[in-house]
Amino acid sequence: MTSAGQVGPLELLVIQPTPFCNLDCSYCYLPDRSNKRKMTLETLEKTFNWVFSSGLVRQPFTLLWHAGEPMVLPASFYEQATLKLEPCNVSGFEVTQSFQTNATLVNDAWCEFIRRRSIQVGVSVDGPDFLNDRHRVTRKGGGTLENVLRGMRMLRDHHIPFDVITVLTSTSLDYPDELFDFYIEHAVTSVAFNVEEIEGPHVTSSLSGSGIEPRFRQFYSRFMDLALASDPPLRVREFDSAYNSISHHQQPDTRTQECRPFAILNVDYEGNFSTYSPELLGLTSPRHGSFALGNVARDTLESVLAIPRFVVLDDEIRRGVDMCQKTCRYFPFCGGGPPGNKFFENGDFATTETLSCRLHKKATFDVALDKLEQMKAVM
Amino acid sequence: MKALFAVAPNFHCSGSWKDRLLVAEGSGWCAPHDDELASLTLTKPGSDPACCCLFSVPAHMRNRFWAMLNEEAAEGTGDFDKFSEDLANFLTFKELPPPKDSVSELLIQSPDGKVETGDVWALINFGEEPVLLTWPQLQLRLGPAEGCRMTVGLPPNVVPPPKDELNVLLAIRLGPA
Repeated sequence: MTSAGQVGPLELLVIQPTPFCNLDCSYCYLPDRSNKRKMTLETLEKTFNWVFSSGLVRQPFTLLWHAGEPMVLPASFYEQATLKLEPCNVSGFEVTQSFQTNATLVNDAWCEFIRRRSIQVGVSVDGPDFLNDRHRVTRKGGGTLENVLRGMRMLRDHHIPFDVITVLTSTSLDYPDELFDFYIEHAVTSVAFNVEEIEGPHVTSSLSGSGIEPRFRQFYSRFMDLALASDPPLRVREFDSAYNSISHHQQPDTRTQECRPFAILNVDYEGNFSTYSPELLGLTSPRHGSFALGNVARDTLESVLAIPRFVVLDDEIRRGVDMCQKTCRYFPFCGGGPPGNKFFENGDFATTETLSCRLHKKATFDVALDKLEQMKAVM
Repeated sequence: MKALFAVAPNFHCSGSWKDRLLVAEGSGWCAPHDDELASLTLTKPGSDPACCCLFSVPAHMRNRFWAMLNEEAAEGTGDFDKFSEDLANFLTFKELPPPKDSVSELLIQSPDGKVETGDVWALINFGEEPVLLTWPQLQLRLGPAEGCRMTVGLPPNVVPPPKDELNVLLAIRLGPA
């Protein structure tokens, strides 16, 4: 049986203080985003106590407020959360708080709180209006870019740095130059590209059609040419990640954060928790049951590690990683595909390649390698 | 043969055709009525490969164009050929590749100037103000950073700019046959 000392250490604590989102993006994987229930401060305190007494905290970690839209709760909720976090943190390790937000609700009170508490911010925006407003829409179907830009301007006016996450769809692949212009125009200095994935209730992706992979590579290659030539260079998470993998060749037995039990802990508004890919929380499978493995009010880490649902899940994910290691030449630079993607696309964790692997890992890695070789050739 | 217009596939141009196209009315010009517009424009890009294709040049490329001109003016080292090559690469990525052996030319048109358009494959407006391209009974307002790939055999005239202004265009001309 797996013991508490064999899992973790915790690297990422994802707390969903509400499933509600004020937007209704067409590619969203959250099944419950109309639900306006909120996490109580009592549940939040239990969550913190659970985390710090679990034995998982053996190094600094990030607390990510995510999913629905965290800013639908007032800044005062997070102020109280921060005040509760401090006495609960008996570990002495630093906890970096981070928000992933659509930025439409940013106001002065938010900015003041974010600055005072040195919170990291990631803004979700998909580029110019003809790209962003195609998928990132209000509950009435209206475009959202104008409000996102207002929020981004406010963050900048308060000297709050932020990263941007853009979800790429099939349409985006025709517009690398326009995306680049958008980031430069709006003073974005760091961008991460996610791909439209098949996850949860989002059962199709515009990127799963034939001919997408070469288009994706062309898009990414052209975008990287622009990003690397800009002054200062526009940072791209996928390129940095590939560069780091190439520079610091990972150990072949290294499992990624998403593949290691309790390196990520996902907690919903009711205190239910899961591990591995955050997208799994709130979902069930006929074979696995609920991916929520326990509740912070009832279950200890030791008790969860012993339940058959966790044992089966961990075994499948471990076998999936082993299969990646045996069959994929990118494994030394990847560490195993995301379990959530494997499950949603292949129906089983003990599988290998997914759309995310092909585009988000392999294609971006190959392009990064090409660019680094070109850079080396001219040096 | 009459000019038909569409936004080139894989490009996004903001604004409507009603704001871009002008039809002759008496001695002046006016926006086309809906039925005229329907006969002048294609709603499905690419349905007529020979049509006049509107496209746009990204802001970073427009900035580079002006940086190149400023460098040429200041140091004499602006590299127009390199810029033209990069522009061709951009258009090729967008699946609107300039013809083989085409040649790029910088055009500065004064109020009394005339632009030779017989062999023009595309014109791109790099200036700050719109440029008017004119065909019989029809005009196209080409906004800043917009370009138009022409229909072979239907070259437009370029309306000279108003007094004290210049049209700044890049022409991609068909190469020798």
